[in-house]
Amino acid sequence: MIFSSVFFIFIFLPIVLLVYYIVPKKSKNVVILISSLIFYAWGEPVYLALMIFSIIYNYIAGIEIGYRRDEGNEGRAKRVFWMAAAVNLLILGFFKYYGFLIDNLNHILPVDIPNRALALPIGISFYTFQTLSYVIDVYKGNVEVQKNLICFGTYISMFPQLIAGPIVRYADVQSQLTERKESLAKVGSGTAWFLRGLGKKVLLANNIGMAYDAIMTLPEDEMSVLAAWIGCAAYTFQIYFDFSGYSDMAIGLGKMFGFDFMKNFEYPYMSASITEFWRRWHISLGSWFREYVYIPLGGNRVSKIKHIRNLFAVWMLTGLWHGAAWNFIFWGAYYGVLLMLEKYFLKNLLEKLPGLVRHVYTMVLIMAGWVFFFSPGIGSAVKYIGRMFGIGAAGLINPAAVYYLYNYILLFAVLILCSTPHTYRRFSVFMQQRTGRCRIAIAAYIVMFVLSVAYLVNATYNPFLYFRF
Amino acid sequence: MALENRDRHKQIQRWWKDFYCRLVKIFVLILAVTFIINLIKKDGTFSEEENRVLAKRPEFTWDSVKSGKYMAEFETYISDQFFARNQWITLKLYEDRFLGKRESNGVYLGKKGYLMEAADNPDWGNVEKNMDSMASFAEKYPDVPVYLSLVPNAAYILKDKLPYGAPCRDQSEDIQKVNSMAGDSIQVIRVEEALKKHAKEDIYYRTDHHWTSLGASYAFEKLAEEMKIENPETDYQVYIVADDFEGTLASKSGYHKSRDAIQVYEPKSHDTEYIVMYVEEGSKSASIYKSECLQEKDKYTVFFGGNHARIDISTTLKEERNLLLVKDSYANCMVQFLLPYYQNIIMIDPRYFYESVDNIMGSYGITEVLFLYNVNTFLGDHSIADVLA
Repeated sequence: MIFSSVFFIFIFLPIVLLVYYIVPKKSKNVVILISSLIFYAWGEPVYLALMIFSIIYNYIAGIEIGYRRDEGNEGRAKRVFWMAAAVNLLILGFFKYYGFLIDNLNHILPVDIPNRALALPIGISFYTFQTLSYVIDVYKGNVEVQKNLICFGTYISMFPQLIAGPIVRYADVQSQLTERKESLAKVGSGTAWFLRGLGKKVLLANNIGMAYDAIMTLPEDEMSVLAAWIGCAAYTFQIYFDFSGYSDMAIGLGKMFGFDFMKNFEYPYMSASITEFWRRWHISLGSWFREYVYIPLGGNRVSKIKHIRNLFAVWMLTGLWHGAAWNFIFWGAYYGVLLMLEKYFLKNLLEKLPGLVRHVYTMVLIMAGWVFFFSPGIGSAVKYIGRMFGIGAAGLINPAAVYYLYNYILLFAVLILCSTPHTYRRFSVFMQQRTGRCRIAIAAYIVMFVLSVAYLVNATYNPFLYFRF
Repeated sequence: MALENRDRHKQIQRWWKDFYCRLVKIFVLILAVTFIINLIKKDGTFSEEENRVLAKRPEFTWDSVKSGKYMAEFETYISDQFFARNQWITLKLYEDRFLGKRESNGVYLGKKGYLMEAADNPDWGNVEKNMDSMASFAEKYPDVPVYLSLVPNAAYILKDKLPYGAPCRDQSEDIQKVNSMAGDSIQVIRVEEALKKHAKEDIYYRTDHHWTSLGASYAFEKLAEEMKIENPETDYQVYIVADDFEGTLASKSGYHKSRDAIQVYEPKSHDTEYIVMYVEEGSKSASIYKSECLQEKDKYTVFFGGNHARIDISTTLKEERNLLLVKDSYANCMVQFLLPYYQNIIMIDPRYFYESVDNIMGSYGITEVLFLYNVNTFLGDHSIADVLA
């Protein structure tokens, strides 16, 4: 089930909200847990068993780590922890990377291991990281052991962020699991988040996604420089509005049930350097890697060589997290190199440059990065980037490119405006000037909702990019 | 100053609280009302606008739940039966047009009121499979000539009516590629030039994805030449049977600005008597036209009432020429031209026909076979190889 569907908005959500708010306080987590399991089973019922196993296994592992520690048996606690970390990673590895590994082995070794493609359990990359954050923090003594299975199950399976994040660390929601305050204003703020996210996903991302799809089906002799840039720009906007829209909906839904999740995006395309971009893009993933990989390895408080090693470890893993293919690994390494260059060489130079130049530098590198992300392989990515700069392109400009530019120019303008914080800030300031404008603001949200629903009912086009991860 | 700031801050906080509380009330109201309307509203069965059967509430069984089929079908059901579905879709199309798109749900909004469908990218592997099975079929009957004729889409023939720059497959190239796969046993009859010559005339409907009878008549001249039909009719009595036809592309795009006329052609010098048998349905008719279909939305179905698995037409012609016509809906308006020259025409549509073609070949003494398809349907077909196997 995805949020941007008629079924979720008009059937699932109203029922869950209604039940949640009529049951007594002590049963509220049960409602979330059960509805989350239904939500999870909706798409792939067979993997419900996997989810339940994950919950129970990690619940027991947490308790045992705590128990052994209280007993004073640190060695045993350590063994249980490493076992739990290994089990979680092996499950993720088996479903997500096994096929990739075998393909590569078959390629480099004179063997032919039979390989079958497994359907990736929805959200496994996200919830595995959540369970890991729990067992690591329990082991390090940062959080208390969760003794209540319902609470723990609620944390792992919570449907608002189950399938596409944000990756909520256990430490951040620990107290919210038992003591959270729902209020009308909070549900309202959740509604506003949700509707904004829905608009981003349905009106902006899906629409510009059609431009991307259309450009990608163009035959090679129609791929001019302009067409290549339109295609890449379309993807750049699609992935941002798709993913951040989905995160916003998750945050909004969380608020409807009294939870506060961290912000996942902070206008990433406003960045003036790659370093800044990664502080603004998919924040929950970045902070997870920093907390559980980068800092434990020593972070930047080590020798230069080790620091570079740490950077690369984090960025190869980040790439690999996004998908089991070489182009994702390359994409991660690409950012590793860029961040290292910025840190050691470009920092001073960049600071001297005017803002516009820095911004162009950042956007071009980000867009080139997305080419590695969306291309089926590294070879075709290099070819595509070549076309963007005139190498192997069908001229600078061609009728098909003009056609798509003309079709989407208004949407591109809207996308640019919505990628900056100014639009929303202006909107808020204008609305707050008088109390009477409250109604206008509400009308604006409702209109956005109605316009989105029209697309959902039409639903011929509602792919969801982040399902792959 | 500090006090003023604090006041302002408080005021803003109050504003947000007020806004959130009112927003959620309206949102919950909308959800509740929608929920109730959808609950009490009667399910529709057929969407005229979309020309398809709407999804029904799926049956709840353990197996369908376990496989996830139930859930997928239930979601489609909710979406299909959403209240005021047509109005929602219209709103979506208005949004698209507001954004300045020159296409809508895959339909180009062309010049002079022409709606044109973009051709799909073919799955050449599958085309090759079809061509191979057609070739071995043709080799099985060396005495029977096998023809293949592919009719391009409006978007290709009427290229100048597309929005500027709109990409469009070079269907001549596609036909050329099919031609090179065909080998010696199949004779490909190319009608692109014949159609292009008349591109200024109404050879395609403005609102539908089919060609008009006029378009078919130009292609027929070419077919007659290649299929050795002697003295083909040149003089027809043309009847306009409908002038308010709004085809499938109007529905698909939601763009309702044009209307089309449907014409039927009657040869002046050949007075052929015939009988039409709808084999699956077990019904007979004295006409290839179904005038009652002119009252329906899809008026193109005036030709045979749409697609059928198998239609047998027997005429009073003495000469033993029997045609097996393997076809899609483009051929439906071609039959009116072929009629006077055959004793039997057996039309089969492989998408619905599951019996043996070899039986037909033998028992009707088929003397020639014509595969007549639209390029786009042919290149996307997944049934020809199966029916010939």
